[in-house]
Amino acid sequence: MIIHTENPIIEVHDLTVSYNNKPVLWNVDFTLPAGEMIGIIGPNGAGKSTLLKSLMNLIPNNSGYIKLFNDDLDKVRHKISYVPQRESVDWDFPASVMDVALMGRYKPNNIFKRFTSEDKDIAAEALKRVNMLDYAKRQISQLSGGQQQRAFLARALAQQADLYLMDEPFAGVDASTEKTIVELFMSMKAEGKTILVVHHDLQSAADYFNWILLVNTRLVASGPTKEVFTPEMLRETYGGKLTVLTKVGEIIAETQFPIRES
Amino acid sequence: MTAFQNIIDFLSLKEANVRYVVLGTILLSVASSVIGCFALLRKRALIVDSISHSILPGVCIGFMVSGTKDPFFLLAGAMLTGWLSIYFIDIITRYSKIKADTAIGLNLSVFFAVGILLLTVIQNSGNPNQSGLSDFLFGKAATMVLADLYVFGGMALFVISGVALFYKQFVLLSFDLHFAKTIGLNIKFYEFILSILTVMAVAIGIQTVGVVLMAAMLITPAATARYWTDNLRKMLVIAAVIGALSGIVGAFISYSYENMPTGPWIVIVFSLIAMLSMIFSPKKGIVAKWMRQRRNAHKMMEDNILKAFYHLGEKEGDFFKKRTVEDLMGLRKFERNKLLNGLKWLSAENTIVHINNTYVLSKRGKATGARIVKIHRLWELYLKKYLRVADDHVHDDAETIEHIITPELEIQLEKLLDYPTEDQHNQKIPYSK
Repeated sequence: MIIHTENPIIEVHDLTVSYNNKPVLWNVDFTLPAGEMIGIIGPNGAGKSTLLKSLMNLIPNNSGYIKLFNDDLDKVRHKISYVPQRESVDWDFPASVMDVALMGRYKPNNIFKRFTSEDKDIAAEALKRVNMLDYAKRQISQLSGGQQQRAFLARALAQQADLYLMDEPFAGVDASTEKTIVELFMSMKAEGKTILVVHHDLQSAADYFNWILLVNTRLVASGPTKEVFTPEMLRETYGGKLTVLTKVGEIIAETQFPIRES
Repeated sequence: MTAFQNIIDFLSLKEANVRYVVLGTILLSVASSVIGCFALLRKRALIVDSISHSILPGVCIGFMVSGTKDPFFLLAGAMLTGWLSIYFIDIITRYSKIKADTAIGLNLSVFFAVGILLLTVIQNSGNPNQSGLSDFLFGKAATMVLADLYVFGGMALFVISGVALFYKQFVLLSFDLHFAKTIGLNIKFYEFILSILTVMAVAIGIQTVGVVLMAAMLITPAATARYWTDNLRKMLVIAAVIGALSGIVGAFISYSYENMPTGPWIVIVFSLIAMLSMIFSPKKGIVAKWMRQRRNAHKMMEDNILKAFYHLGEKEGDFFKKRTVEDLMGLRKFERNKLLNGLKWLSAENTIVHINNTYVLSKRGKATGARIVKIHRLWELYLKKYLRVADDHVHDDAETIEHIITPELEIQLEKLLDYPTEDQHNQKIPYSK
């Protein structure tokens, strides 16, 4: 069940993405509304993070196109913030929490300049919003998992974007940090921001999101939570991979067959 | 000439040749240490080793083409094969099943083997210019002349300014590549710049340090600097200073002793600094760790003695009675020597007073003893109430925790437990008022 929306903030058309020639996202096609809190839900290895990465053009796609703000990514980058998985960086890097937040102020056109006092204020404000201002000077390797995640969120806030793509922001954080983060997302939504979150906890999904994408290699459903977050849809998403689709994927990988004819 | 006079001559920089050697070595060391910090942070240390071995065939080709040891040709060749090795490693890992570490190992040995082959061919060719070419293996700083300084020093300055100019980009690349990509930074371009600067830094070391050991020149100062700071800018400066110091020592030895290679000496000097840093650096060093443990042991002993005084006072209803060492040992199994030491410390701090062979608590000593007993008993209650630990299991834990609870936590604990007057063993909890 794929419900489309008028004036989408994200439009994905026939997207196929593969790793080592094995498709991990197959013919995915959806539109997402602006100003909502949207969850990408699905089992492990379903292609959730891959979907987020291809939205940011971090990995090449085999077919299809993506429109953000009804435009090409390169023209609207300044309006988008991407928060990678916490484990994707080495937290032993010699940097302070403030250094990380300030990275949110980098833009290709100011990268040769020094940070202005405005940049510093914005970064400090972002740290304050995630309750990390007291830790501004702390070396990032001394942070707990939840604090690392909040440092990443502060960097994202400092970008002052309109669309936020978050890869597993709740992974490995304690309950109180999760609550802080959810409250932050709600207040961002109230400001009119769109938040797209990769999430794997079904218990909380219905509470957090008002639009949900159910993914398992193919797109099972996309639409308002009330309509798509149903037992049948979840069974279809989590009921395992489609045998024929999986087999075809394996043949493509084995024979190194192209995914599109040209 | 005595060794002492040698040092004076060298340090006074009277001879023009010495000045070139010292200046050249400093520039080179700073350039390689600084760029090395980024190689280290990007976990590319092994790739640097591969580059350094791969520049040997390039140097040989440069010589074969020009027929002279003109640094221009040698460096051009060095950079070409150095860069090729990065390119090959990239290609191999991308298009084959071979993993990065294997690809690096393959590259390093093949390029170096070709280099040695070419070197042998040149040495057998009878070209009179080839003498000294083998110095490029382990470096010979003393052979540097003004023309070399211009070329090598100029390139070192180029590398240093490159890092200064692209500092922010390199930080972003090294910390979070995906994020850097998403904000629209031209990653491929900056990665290319960084690898070119790295190859350059390795290549300019051929004369001073030699190809074999040049990788250490990039990695060791950076790794050492990491021991001293958590701030990247400071790390760059510290690495540069360590590199420059070692460079000067190496250059001096090369100047003083004929036929002494420079590279190994430089490596030995900064490896020594690295070792000393591991032992003595203020936060992460072994000594600092040992001192912390000693301080902890010291505090535990003091606390335990005051607690023993307090317990004795509690039992007999008199906190300020004179106690002997035997009294204290009767209450708790102290080691006699350690107890005497502890008593000495406490007397010095006036928490107890030493009279003849007896000891008396001072007012302050009593307050401290009471505080420790209070925390011990509060913690036992806390364990019972919040962790559901059985009454006969709470004591050992409280024995340790009583030493580390801060005044802030103490207040929190009191509030949380609602100021209890007795613990679960019906012992009074002493409050300060």
